[in-house]
Amino acid sequence: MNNGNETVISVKDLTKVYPAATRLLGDGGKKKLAVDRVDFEVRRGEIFGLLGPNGAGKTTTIKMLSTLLIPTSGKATVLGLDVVKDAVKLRPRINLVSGGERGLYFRLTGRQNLDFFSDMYRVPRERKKAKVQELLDQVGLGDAADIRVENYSRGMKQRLHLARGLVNDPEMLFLDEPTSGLDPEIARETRTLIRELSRKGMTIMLTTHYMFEADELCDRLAIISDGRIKALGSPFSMKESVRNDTVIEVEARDIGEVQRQGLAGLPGVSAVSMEFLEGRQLARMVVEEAGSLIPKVAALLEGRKVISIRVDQPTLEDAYIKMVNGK
Amino acid sequence: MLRDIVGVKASTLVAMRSQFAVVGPTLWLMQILATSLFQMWFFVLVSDFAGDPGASPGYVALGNAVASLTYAAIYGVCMSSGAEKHIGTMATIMSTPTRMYYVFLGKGVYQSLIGLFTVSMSLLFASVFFGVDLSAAEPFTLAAVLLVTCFSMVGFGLIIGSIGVYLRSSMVLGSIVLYLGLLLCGVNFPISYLPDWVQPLSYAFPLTYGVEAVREVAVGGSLGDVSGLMVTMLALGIAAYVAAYFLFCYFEKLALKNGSLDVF
Amino acid sequence: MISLRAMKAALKQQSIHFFVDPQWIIPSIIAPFIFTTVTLFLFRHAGGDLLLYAVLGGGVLGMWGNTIHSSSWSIGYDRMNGTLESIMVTPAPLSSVVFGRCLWNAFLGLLNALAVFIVAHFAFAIDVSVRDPLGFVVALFLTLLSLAVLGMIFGAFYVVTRASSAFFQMLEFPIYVLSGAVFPLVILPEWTRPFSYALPATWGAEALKISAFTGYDSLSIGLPGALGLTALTTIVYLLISFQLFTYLEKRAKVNGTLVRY
Repeated sequence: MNNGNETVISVKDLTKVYPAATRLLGDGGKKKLAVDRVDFEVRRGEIFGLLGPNGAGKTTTIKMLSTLLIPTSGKATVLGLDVVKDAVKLRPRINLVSGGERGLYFRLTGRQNLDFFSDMYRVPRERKKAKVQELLDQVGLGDAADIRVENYSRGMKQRLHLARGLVNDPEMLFLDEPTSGLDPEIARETRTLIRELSRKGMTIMLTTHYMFEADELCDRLAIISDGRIKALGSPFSMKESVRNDTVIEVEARDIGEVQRQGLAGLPGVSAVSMEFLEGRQLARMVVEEAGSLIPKVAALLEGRKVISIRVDQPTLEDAYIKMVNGK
Repeated sequence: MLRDIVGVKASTLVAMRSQFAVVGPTLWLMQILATSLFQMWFFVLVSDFAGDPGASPGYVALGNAVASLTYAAIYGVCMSSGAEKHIGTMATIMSTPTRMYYVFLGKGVYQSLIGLFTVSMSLLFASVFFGVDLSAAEPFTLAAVLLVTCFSMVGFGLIIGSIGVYLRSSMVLGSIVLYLGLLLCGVNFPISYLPDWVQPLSYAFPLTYGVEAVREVAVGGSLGDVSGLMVTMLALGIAAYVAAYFLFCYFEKLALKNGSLDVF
Repeated sequence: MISLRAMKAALKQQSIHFFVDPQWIIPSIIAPFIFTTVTLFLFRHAGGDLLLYAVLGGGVLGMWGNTIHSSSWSIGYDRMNGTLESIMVTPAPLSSVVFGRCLWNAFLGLLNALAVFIVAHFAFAIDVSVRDPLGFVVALFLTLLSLAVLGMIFGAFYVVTRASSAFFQMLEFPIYVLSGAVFPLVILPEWTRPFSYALPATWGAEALKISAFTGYDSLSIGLPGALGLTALTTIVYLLISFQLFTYLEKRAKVNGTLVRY
């Protein structure tokens, strides 16, 4: 929901290089370039997504913006405040929720967890009790409030995580893989909750490696791979970028990396993705024009057990693949 | 049986790796050695200040040197089980066909090596820094005594480790046994100092026999002189291994039934 | 930067954690407890003031043991739980959170010292009456405070690495030796003196002994002197710990080591 053009996050040339690990004994590791000169902006009220494969630099980026990591170079401001210099002023106004089961005090009850974090954020004492109850109800943990977190199911933990992220009524909420590892129903509930928060005017930035999640939730997204932004825009405009393309999908029995490279090398093919199913493979090619290519594809796969070749409409996923590993 | 033996070997390697994933081998050895040396020094100073002829600094130093075995043999064995629960690999191990007991036996083998190294270093410390005279000791007899002591102490470590399969308390129990040895086993003063009703408890610990045997060997005792102590220790040790086996089976069943395997 | 609210919340949280599973106090107090008992057996033939001396020293050891295990672990626990980032993203200063927890641990240390006194009184029939009760109480609280601060310093290193535990457990016994709690410092080698004097526990133990015994003043500094030096070393360590937190937090944020367990 874009209800204004005010810039909430501004990122310019942001770079993070993890230094080589220093150890007492033994050798250190190598330096690692995690985020490489990234630029983008996020506007007030929108849900902005960072989409990319594992290790692409999504989490590193979100941690730099939430003051947990110091960038190696470049500049980032959130709510007009520098994430390094003004970190102390910034923290009361933002919050971060990471996916997964860790990150809660499992020996404390849900209520005690929220109590503790409310104190960390100096939630006014007179409001604290009501606020905690309100949050517990909001995420549907009202009945489980006084049970220890170690007895929570995975979904309950995730909802408590979200509640923790809301104790300070953040203007800007960072969500790092909020649905990772959740079963589909709980993931859907989580997405509904995220949309509700956005409707109330909260600006949200999230990372995900699920295409459909980005498509469903985000107003705009950045596709990131190897620490670099490959594309930036609304899910619609990304699909738009492959609108004039067509997809050829080949199902076969014994094709592999060699064939994938061969297909990718054909003129007019902009990206090829491979999916390995049980006993067969699925190659999806994003191409400019299918008709003239199909014979070439067939020729290239001669001798392989081709099951079917069909032509399809491009999806956001194809756009993503074209941007992440296209040529 | 063969599969069990392979399991023991594999778990020795896993024990090494999983422990070192948290502390690192050098650090663990440094920790054990530093602790043993300073503990010895502490009690030597106390004894020096107290001036009790029945518990001279040399007596205390030798006792502590032998007691240093406990760190690896008992604490090390149950610590591994604690750490495993910690990291959540307990369920993974449980699902392998090798029984838990053999897995812990593997840890025992690994910790024994560390323990024997520690005790050798501690004896060296004792003779270099605290004037303990080991020149009369027969090296072979000394080695045999230490080996048997270590063997039966690992058995005790396994018993405590088995509890860790079910409860979080194995580390707590481990630390109690670790230090209780310093009080009850004739390490720092003769057992006769203890109240009469406590003394029988002392003889339940293999360390008591180990310390006594090393003291005898140090003044020139032969293998024959300490054979009685060694046989008792062996018997205690074997009983501990058997008991640990059944405890493992029991707690394993209990843990599977109640699903407390990865509850930390 | 200090936040009283964060301190209080952390103290409360630590106490809840304690009551959920109080058995974990045992690993941190068992060593000093057994050490004191062994010492009492060794001092038995000497009798008199020497026994009370051992008991007081044992109390200090007990408080110290608790500091080294519980307080240094206070950040380690967050690291294990994955909550370190959740705390660091809040405006509350991490040092305040850790200090709150260390205060609770210091309080447990007091209970621990009390346990030593009770055992000494009932099992060894030692008269635990002290010469100057007021001075003794002041010395006790100052010692506890100094240990809480020391715990904070140890805790700080966990921000960077979990391997800290091994290092600090290694320090437990050296400090038992160097603080001269259960024997006079003069029997230690000369070269250890600077290390002993740098420890607040040394001065705390001295203040406790001066206030407990008639005529005791092994370093000729008097009770005010011993209290003053406990306070001074405590303040120095407090300042160091703030610097350390700032430095180590920054380092962790450059290296990205907050999440790894």
